[in-house]
Amino acid sequence: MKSGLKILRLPIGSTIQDHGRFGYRRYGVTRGGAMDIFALAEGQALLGNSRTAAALEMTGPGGKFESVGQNLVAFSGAEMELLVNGKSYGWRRTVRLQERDVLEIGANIDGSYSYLHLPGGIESPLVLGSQSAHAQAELGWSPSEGEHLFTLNGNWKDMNLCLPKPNYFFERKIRIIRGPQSNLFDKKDFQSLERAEFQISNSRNRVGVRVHCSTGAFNADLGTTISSDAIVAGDIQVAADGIPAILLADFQPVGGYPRIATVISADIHKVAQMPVGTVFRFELTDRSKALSELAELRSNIADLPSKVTPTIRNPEEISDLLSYTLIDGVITGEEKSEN
Amino acid sequence: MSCKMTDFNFYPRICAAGDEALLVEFGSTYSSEVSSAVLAFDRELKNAPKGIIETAPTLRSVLIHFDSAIVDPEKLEQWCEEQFSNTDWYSQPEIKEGNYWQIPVIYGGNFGPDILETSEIIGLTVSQLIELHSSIDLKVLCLGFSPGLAYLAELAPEFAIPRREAYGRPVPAGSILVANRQTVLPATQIPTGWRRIGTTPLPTFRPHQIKPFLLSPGDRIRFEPIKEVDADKVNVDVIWDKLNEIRT
Repeated sequence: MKSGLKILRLPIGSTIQDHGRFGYRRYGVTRGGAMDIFALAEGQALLGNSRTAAALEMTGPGGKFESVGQNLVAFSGAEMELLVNGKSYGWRRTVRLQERDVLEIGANIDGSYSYLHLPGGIESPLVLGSQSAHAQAELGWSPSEGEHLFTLNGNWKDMNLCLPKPNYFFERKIRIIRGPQSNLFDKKDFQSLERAEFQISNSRNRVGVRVHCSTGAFNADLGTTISSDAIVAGDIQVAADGIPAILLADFQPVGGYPRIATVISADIHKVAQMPVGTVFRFELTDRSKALSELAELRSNIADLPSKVTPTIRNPEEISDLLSYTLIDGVITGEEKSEN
Repeated sequence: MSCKMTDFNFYPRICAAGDEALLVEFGSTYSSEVSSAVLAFDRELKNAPKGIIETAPTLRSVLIHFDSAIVDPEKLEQWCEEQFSNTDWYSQPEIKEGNYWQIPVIYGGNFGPDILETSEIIGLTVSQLIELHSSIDLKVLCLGFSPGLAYLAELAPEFAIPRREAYGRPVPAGSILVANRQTVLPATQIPTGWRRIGTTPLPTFRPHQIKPFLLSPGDRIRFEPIKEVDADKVNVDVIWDKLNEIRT
């Protein structure tokens, strides 16, 4: 029997995600993949998984799982309360599970997308070179209650490892660059983009998030002035009602609404993690700055394995404290010399 | 430049599309000249400096997605500018290097519920419409909107009809849709405002194959009317095998 987790409960919209699809854009398939690429990489670092390993992306609290066989599980992304058999554990770490242990994801502490990882990655079908689920394109797997998440590597090493919490969950400045249609917008809209406050609305999913502008809707008359053209991740699209939307992982390859600007690649995962109601600002930058930020993000991701450290053992987390060998080595106290 | 475009002074132009892509636009909207320039330039990108991850043509532009760790975007832009000054992309001879597909279509009935309305708008009988739609070679301009959805052109001038204002009920994969002298052939179920005049029993997207998409930009197509009873006789595997024979 393969080891893994039986899903007892899972928030709607949870999917299997990896780094996404490359090379199929000319056939109408965009990259997709994890909403938070940094968080995906954290789980891979904690378990020593490859960069292509897939994880379970959860859209909020409420997940509940039962261990099938012994397992090592890791958690990353948006921080959640974590309970194993009712006992509380920290986030962004590995957790050892025994057969039939029950794992519960409790209240959301920050962020929006959390990741559950298994050694070697989670087993699911590979479609177009990726395991990522893309609901609208009907690709990949969105698991549900009663199904199992199986590990692709049963020979894991028993380790209690953790990673420090990254600081991007608290960033409220999102950097943007101008795009092919920026010139179509009037000065007033561009001023709003740079100066107004924006708020994450509850209209959000893997395709994108609509944001409310403190100075009101944008000029929507432009909606009919452009002919469909290629979209990229991070594009800020202004729909017919003048409400901007930031397009995220599962964006459509082409669209007819104009885009006022584009969120830089290094900040897209920060937008994805902002909870509903978050107030933030945009900051205009240029491509060379955007690319140096991206290079830094990629280097931070590459460095993650070196940041992994053993967890400091918290006695409250040790259920079988009395059976631990606290002091090793035994003497009788009555040693006598040979003669 | 031989092409009579109102905005040829402005195009082609290069824009940053995000920090790791360039958009090379050949016109502000679709025309057959613009689309031909797009496909010719997309083909030429095989000779571009290393570092391109993928390119994707649209009806009026080419998206170039690159890896900034390998190539400086300014170097790519410079290469594109050189191609613009060396070559008139709007008057490139048609290179027929793609595949040629005969695609069986069941026209009308439940397979093409909008055929009567379409023939009335055009002012032809249904059989004249079928004849007009299936007696011309079409080119795959691009794929997009949804996985494997192909935009095909150019139909006879009679098909210069607009889309419907509102989206109707979703149409299934294989629907043959018409508007704007184009046919759209979706590979998955989609919502659409285009009129559905037929359906092909030939799947154009097989997700679990090594080459999962039958059609590529630049391929040519001719539709072949078949009767509903003959749909089972379409040998899907034989048609798909052509992908392995020809394309590399």
